Amino acid sequence: MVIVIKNKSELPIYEQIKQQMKAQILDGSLREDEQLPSIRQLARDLKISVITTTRAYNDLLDEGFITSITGKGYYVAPRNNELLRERMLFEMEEGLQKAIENGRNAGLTDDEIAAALKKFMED
Amino acid sequence: MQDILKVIRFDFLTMSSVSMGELIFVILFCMVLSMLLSPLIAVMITFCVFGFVYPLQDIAERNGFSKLYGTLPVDRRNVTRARFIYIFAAFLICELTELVIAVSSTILNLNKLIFNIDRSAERSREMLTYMHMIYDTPAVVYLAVFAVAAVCCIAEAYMEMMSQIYGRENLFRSVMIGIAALSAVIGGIYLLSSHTTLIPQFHLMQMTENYAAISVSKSVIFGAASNAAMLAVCLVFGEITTRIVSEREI
Amino acid sequence: MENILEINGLCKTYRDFSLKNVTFALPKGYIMGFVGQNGSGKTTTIRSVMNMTKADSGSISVFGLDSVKDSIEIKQRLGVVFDSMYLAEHLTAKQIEQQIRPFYKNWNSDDFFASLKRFSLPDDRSVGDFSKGMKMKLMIAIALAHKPELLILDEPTSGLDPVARDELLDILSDYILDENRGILFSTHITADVERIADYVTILHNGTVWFTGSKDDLTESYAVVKGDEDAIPEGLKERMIGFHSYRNGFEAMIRTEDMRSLPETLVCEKASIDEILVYIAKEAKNAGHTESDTL
Repeated sequence: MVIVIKNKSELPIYEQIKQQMKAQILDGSLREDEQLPSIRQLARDLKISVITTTRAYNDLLDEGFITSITGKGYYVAPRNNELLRERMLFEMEEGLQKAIENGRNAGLTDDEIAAALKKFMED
Repeated sequence: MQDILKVIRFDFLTMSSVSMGELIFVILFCMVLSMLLSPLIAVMITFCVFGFVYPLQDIAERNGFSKLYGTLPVDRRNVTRARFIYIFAAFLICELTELVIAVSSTILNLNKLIFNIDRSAERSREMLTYMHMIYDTPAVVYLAVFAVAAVCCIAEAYMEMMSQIYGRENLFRSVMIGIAALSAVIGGIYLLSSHTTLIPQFHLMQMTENYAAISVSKSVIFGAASNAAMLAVCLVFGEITTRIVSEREI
Repeated sequence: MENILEINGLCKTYRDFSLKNVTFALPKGYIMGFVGQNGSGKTTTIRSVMNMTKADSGSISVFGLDSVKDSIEIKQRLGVVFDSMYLAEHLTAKQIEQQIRPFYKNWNSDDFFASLKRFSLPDDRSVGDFSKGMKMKLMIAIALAHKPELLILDEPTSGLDPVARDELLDILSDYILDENRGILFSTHITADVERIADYVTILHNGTVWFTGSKDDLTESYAVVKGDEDAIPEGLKERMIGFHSYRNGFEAMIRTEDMRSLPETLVCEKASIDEILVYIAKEAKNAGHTESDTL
């Protein structure tokens, strides 16, 4: 797992961790059932506070991206997990919302936006 | 008690690498002198012990040992008590070393070596006679060893107490006060003894004439008594210092 | 969450300085950065925990034990590092280990020498010859050798070069991997706090200005700058450390107040450094207004 923290970013550190981990889970670089570093080990490696990594892991747990087994640690959640799928759907919807908003702000009509979407799907 | 021993060991280890070399040199030097002028070794070696004890206070202060004592899991009162027992132990060891040297120089009749000094001069003959006299009564030497060790030990304990209570800067003032007090007491006793029969008079000249009367057993008794006094003084001074100092802030 | 260290209502008065009602707690498994200006009372607080100073009032508990009554038992489980060395400088690390070993029940000589090796410290040279960074690492090696559950460090990185500082912070980070341990370190180098601390307590002039998680702290305050006239009604009084100069003003505000700010004012999250500076400015401002009314 590769996580890179930008100290001067506007985004809080726990958000950066979440985003990067989610991205890697979704694109498969973090495989199902792969064991993740412990909260403390991650904090140590990234040189950040344990509270921050705890928060990131807790959020990811709630959102269904990872699971925890008491006494053993944190693991990437299996991909056919319902919660995960719902989550991915939600992310897609969020992304679509954002895309539409951006398109409208750029001055595109709804038809033009839909056309652009189709083009991306065909690629 | 165990804690006190740990602290004594700690103090000893602090000092040993600093003073050991010099101490051994001085002891050897005094051993050579003992073959010539035996009573003097008592004084000399005793003063070497200062070298073994004094720098301890210096090192302790320079290195901020007070923080260390605050950090170690030891009761601060025991740290202070240990310091005074350390002083007693240091003088006890020096006493025993001196006794060994004195006894061996007496047994080996090392005074034979001094006969080769120039006998012609008047002064040197007087000195030789005096030295022979002393060699003939080794008990006097032992007496001197005990007496000097006791006096120096008590003096050192007094100085340690004063410098812990009033600080090292005020040490000289404390020493002056101590000397003044002691002189007053001794002077007072001397004056009183010439007016009442209750206090026996001390005639120094008489004492030297009575050298022969001093037997080895008498000097051993004196030694036991003086060492008991040394220990008692160290313990008492230690307790007094503890009471006053251990409540202070570090 | 159990507290490994609890300080309640600590008060201590000196001639020209006093600690007033200092209260904070460090839960097990976390690092707390203890920050404040020089002279704000950090070292006094630490010395009170060590029972080197007797408090006027208040209580301190370490591992659930009373810091005064059970002081010696606490020190068996506590590792302390001060900013200056308090060992005999003419001795070698080996000799010092020999000196200190008998005092601790849980002293592990192998651990100590392993630490020395890790920190690249020679065990046969007089420690007085060590550089400042080496001396600090030696003291930490000693503090760690008896397997303490709580580490207290007073200004551990002051006077260290950046490389040594980084190494030291790495050592502390490794130590805290065990969630049954805790670290309290006082410092005025806020970058260290920003890097490894989980909790922060800010001491100002003998009182606790803030205590809580570091994230809460950094997300609670922002620095705002701009034209003085653009400040909305009523906001100026709520500003901390307000300072106006020829080209504008600068001050610190709480993030709740950020909402009412106009776009013309520049607003950025406050760093711990800036927080300390603005606290000090606020105190000075308050001092001035008091003397004005006199």
